[in-house]
Amino acid sequence: MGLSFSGINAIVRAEVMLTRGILPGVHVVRISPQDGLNLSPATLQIADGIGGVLNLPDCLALSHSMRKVELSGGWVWELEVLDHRWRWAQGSVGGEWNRRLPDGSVDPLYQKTPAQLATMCLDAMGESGYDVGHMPSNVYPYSDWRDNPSADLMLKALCDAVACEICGGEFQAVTIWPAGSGPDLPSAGVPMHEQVVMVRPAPGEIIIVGGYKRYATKLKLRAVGIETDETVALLDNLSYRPSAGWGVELPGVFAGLPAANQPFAKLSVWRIYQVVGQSDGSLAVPTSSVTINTVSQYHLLDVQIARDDFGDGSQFALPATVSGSWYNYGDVPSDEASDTPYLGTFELDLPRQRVTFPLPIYSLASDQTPQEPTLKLLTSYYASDEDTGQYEALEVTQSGPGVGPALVVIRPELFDSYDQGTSHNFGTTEANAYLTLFQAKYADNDLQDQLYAGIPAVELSGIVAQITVTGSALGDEGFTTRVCRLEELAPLGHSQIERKRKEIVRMIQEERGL
Amino acid sequence: MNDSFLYPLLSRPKVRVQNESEEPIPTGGVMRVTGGTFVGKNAVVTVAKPDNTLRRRYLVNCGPTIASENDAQGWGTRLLIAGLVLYDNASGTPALDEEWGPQPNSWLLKKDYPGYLITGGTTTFGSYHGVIAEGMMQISFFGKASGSIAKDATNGTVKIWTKNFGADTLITLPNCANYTTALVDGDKVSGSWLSGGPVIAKLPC
Repeated sequence: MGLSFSGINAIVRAEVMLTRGILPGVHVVRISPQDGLNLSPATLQIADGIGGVLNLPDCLALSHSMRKVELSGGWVWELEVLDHRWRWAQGSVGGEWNRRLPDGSVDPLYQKTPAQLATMCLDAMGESGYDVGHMPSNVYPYSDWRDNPSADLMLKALCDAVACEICGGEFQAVTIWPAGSGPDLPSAGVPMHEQVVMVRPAPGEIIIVGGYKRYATKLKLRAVGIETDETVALLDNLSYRPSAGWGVELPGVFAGLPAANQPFAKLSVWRIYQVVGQSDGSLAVPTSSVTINTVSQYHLLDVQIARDDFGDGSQFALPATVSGSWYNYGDVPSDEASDTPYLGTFELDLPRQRVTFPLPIYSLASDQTPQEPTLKLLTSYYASDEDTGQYEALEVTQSGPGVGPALVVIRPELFDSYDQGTSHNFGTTEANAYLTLFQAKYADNDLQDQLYAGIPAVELSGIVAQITVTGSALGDEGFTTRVCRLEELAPLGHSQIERKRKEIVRMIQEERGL
Repeated sequence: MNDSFLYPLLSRPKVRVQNESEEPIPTGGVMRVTGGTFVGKNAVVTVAKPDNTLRRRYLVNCGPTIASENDAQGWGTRLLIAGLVLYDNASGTPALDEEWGPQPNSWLLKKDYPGYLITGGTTTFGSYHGVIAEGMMQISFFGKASGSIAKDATNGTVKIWTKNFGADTLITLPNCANYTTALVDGDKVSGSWLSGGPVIAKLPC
């Protein structure tokens, strides 16, 4: 039986509180006053004298935290000791991982499983001999590490995202367990009368909220012109439309128009085309749950969902394209075949949903006079609700194991897509995998707080949330171990909520360079 | 970015033309130059249907149909670089190196008339027939004296002949100068444009 720490002559009492996460546990030791206190990192050992031993390697005693405490037997010194995780606030990670391709699938060039991401973090933190094999392999949380953030904070964010717990850091033997799985309460030892059974408010609903659903279809374009008051109208509705129609005017010249109207015509007629709906003229977006009443509910992007493969694994979305049938300024006065790709340049005005060509683009009628061409814009877009303005987004819901408030998990990288007749449900598939993870986190509702004599064989896991070992070398109170199942129920020490608050503050400080 | 490489018309030398004919001018139609004018700050050549007079230059409509309304404008080209021009298929089908030219009161070229050298390749659109041809600079001509033309006269009229003196065409060239021997009606002549106008000479028998 004993308590030891290199450099400390006599430890009279120790309280070690082991909790999950990246912040170092703060353990309190009371020592006999001694000459000098120059402490290097060392192992804090607690032995209960009946075979139970707790060794916390590489602990750092905070000499500045020392204070004098008067006990019945006289004055003692009280010190805080950090476990090995005090070294974790070092090292950084980089890269951008698990970014999505335009169809919602994970870009293979940047795909990392949670275990691979955790490995990168732990390596940067200086750890070895860790076990990440229990982490889920069917989810790919987006991890933007391009600013080279701290590895430990990113590890914590990763594990929170995939419902995992970081265990074993205090022993330099990290194991990451999914919440609700792993070693349970020790089978050996004797639960004392302080065994308590409690119930926590598990969520009544689990909701995974993803990103906007993305569509790519051919959109019909109509020729518009700029009015003299700079509003826009279909060509036949322009105030300066020739009485015999636009077929009598040479495109780009418009010499027959009044001089005051010619600049507006040259700027716009046969050059500006407006999105008016789907290629068949209807408004409804295929597979969308949103009722579309106006094209303002389309929110255009300047790329398609289809992409180029550059042969080296990198993929980029194809740019928006125009196709259709128009006069190509050839010697023979006839239009291109329908659905011919337009190879020239054009500007795409996303908010105004317009295409502008650098030169007049028009069709030729049967008498070879100019008329409106059939043009379509192929690009991707989102759809929004007309009344609420909300963009159509992925959302999957499942009844939770309890009756508490809904648990909302936000994963904006998950989205579904529809690309010219083909639906892609990568987002929904992965969202369902997240549902399974978070169901497992709350499925077990058997909270327990048990007290054991001595130091039983027990370790933190996805089930064991807190281990508190106290012992006195004076023989007055012996050694006990308090083990909390699923939640940290021990009243002393920093709670998980408080530690999480500290982690968030540190993350904000890093982001702002404070 | 310049899209001209995609569109041959954009890089073809051309001029604005104004339709004085009161009927639509089809794409590829050959046009007679009647004069020029400035419309705004732009030079515009006025055009009409070819008549029965041989002209030194014609233009071809290289844009859309030029409407007949209100001095409608279009694009005309000398076609010095081979391009599309309409032909009269009553004359047959044009072949490489044949010469076809404007005929009176028509937008279409007629075989063996002077003006355009056929390259080949035909197409149809609507009721029209087009062929690839190049416009030739009118430097010389052949024909027959129309009536007597005295020596040193400057107002002679020549009936333009088809290639190889095959037959009379329907076009003439007025105001020809004759500085050689006196000519009688039907004498074969050759001529060219020198400074001041066309000059003719009797062909030796």
